[in-house]
Amino acid sequence: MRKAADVSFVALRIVLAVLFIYAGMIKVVNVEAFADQIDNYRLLPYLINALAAAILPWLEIVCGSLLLLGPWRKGAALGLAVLNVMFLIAVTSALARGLDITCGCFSLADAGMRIGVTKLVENILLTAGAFIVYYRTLLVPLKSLVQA
Amino acid sequence: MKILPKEAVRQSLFIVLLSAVLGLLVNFFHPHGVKMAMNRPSPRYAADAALAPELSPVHVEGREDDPVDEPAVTGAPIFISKQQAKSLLSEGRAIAVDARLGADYTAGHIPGAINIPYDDLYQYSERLETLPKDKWIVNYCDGPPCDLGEMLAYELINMGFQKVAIYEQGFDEWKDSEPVEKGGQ
Repeated sequence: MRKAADVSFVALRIVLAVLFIYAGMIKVVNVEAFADQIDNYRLLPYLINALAAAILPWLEIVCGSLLLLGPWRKGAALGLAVLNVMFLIAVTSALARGLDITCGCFSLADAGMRIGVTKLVENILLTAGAFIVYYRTLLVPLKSLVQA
Repeated sequence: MKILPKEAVRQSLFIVLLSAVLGLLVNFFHPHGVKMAMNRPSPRYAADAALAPELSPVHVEGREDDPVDEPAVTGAPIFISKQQAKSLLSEGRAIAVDARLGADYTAGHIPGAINIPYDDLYQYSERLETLPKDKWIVNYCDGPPCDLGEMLAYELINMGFQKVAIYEQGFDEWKDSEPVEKGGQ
């Protein structure tokens, strides 16, 4: 039983880490397009959106890599949890304002990536995943596999 | 049990710092880097020359078999102003495509525009196939922050269309000064 919990936690951590590395790498390819997408949310002044467009993808890549590889795993878990909460707030506010924009989550130009209930559910699941990882990495670390 | 251990906070601050340095450095040398500016960059319109009519090929009787040069693939849609959209449409060299949902289209659209909602793109494949390849396709939606027109334009490029334009300021700008058509679908 304990072992099953350990294995599923490690699997969750790997999936989350790989997802975020992937999400970051896609955005690094075209920072300009990503800046447009963030700016479309109309949440913050343009300069902050431009800075976020340059930095956020690397934050995703660095946090994902550290969560996967080990050193500074606690900081990475905290970073991912905070990032996910931010994304969730942004998507929720866009949905509440009825904005018809692309999410800017896992793609720079693709059908089916627009803000909607599916995106909201996806973000809630990711945030939940990030919090489980945070909880297990920082607060109640599992003894066996996690520390291996 | 501390909910926010100091060690994690310290590590995450270093991670933010590292990402900021990496991000700004890479952005500086990136061919598609974002320019740091206080305001949203103004729309980048294509030069009028990019929209100039091409010389029609000369047909000489009995010489239909001559090899015809394939037009160069542009690979990217171009951004046009209201004035440019107006002249292309009035000269019959373009077709306007409204990428918004059917209800928005019915409430008002650019006269003569076809409705191809980007959100239900694959239900409109028949309309996509009837679009002419020899005319400019002027994609639009409401105007910023709506980007349906832009998304549709990239989709058309992927489908092999070459004369693809985006009227970015869109219907919000158009309806203030130009005639509007209602109904239809």
